[in-house]
Amino acid sequence: MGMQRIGGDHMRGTLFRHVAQPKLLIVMTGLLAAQTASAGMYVDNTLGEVRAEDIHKVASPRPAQLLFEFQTDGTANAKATKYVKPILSDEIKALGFVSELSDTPVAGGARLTVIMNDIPQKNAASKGFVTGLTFGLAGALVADDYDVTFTYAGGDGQQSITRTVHHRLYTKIGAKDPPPNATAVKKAEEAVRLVVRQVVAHGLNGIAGDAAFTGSPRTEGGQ
Amino acid sequence: MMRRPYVLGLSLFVAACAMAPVPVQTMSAKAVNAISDARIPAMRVGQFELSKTLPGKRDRSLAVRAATIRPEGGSFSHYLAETVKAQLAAAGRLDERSDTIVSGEIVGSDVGSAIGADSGHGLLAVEFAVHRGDTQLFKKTITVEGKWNSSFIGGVAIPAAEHGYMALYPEIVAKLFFDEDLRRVLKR
Repeated sequence: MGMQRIGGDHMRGTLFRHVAQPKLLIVMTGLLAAQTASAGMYVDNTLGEVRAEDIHKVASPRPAQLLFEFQTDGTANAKATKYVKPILSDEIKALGFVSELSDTPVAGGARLTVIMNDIPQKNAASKGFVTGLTFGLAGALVADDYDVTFTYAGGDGQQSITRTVHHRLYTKIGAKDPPPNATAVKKAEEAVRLVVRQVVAHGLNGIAGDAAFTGSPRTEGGQ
Repeated sequence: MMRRPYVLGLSLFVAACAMAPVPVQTMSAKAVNAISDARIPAMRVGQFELSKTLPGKRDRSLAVRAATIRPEGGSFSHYLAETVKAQLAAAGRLDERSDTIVSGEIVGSDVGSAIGADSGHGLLAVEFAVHRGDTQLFKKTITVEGKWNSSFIGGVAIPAAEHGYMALYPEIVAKLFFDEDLRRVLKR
């Protein structure tokens, strides 16, 4: 047997022939299907909703400026910021914590700063890679932890109030048991909305219930 | 006929490599707080450009393995100008009629995604200038660098490099407005 050339035209020709074979295409399609069809997302139940009897309602909400930054491992992530910000704004308005939200400073100087830091599991990529190589048989369950810090500065020299809320989102790929104590969601957007709604509810409720919160008179116990 | 699946596969591969342009970080808490704390007068944003000492194509995109990082607006210098403008607006210090003007020239820009812990790196260096009328109040080169964990998997390494590098833009704006020399001259 003579020497074989490695790479160059020989390898490119071989690659082209294999790619054009129907069997290989079917296998590749199956791999893609296995990876996409069996992926699922789960929102951890530990945080959950704020109980009705624990809700601090803001009686006279005031306008505030919203500063929001999504981070990945502590580094600003502009694409994720753009995606999450409208969802976050909707949830803050829905709670009635403020009368209106603005991108620029407002009369009175109230400012709400929200930093949402996504801390992906360190070996998540390797787990997903192995799942792909084994056609989904070696399933993977990876977690994204979220540390969300809310800081409200009422303006006029008032003391700022900070609350940090933790949450967790799981992604299951391939053959793997779902995580315990978690709620399955069908779509990624649904998962993001649920995580954001719950962290906003807990974070702002903590601020509204703080003795230093003088943004407006408040009633407690959902009254 | 057998070539069609190959063409489709190639199209998907190319599509995956052509990442969407990165939007401006409209509000960096660190940069906005730096501007607010500086108690500086309102200003407007002047010209931002890439230094002539750098290849012109580096203003439009940066290569990371088989992909390219591209900013919204078509150039990194425009992106930097918009980032400065967004932070000034969020801090209530943007005034298009002000005679105080901030401008800049990108003199260093680099991104790398070697494999391993802390082996992804990015660098951004900008020569900023602030003028009031015809008087130059400030001129200084400010540099920021970032490191992140990279991966042998391109699907992980490329997005990590993208947001690691692009995060340098709000970071350099924060560093500019934390600069004591700038704060001193603007308070005069």
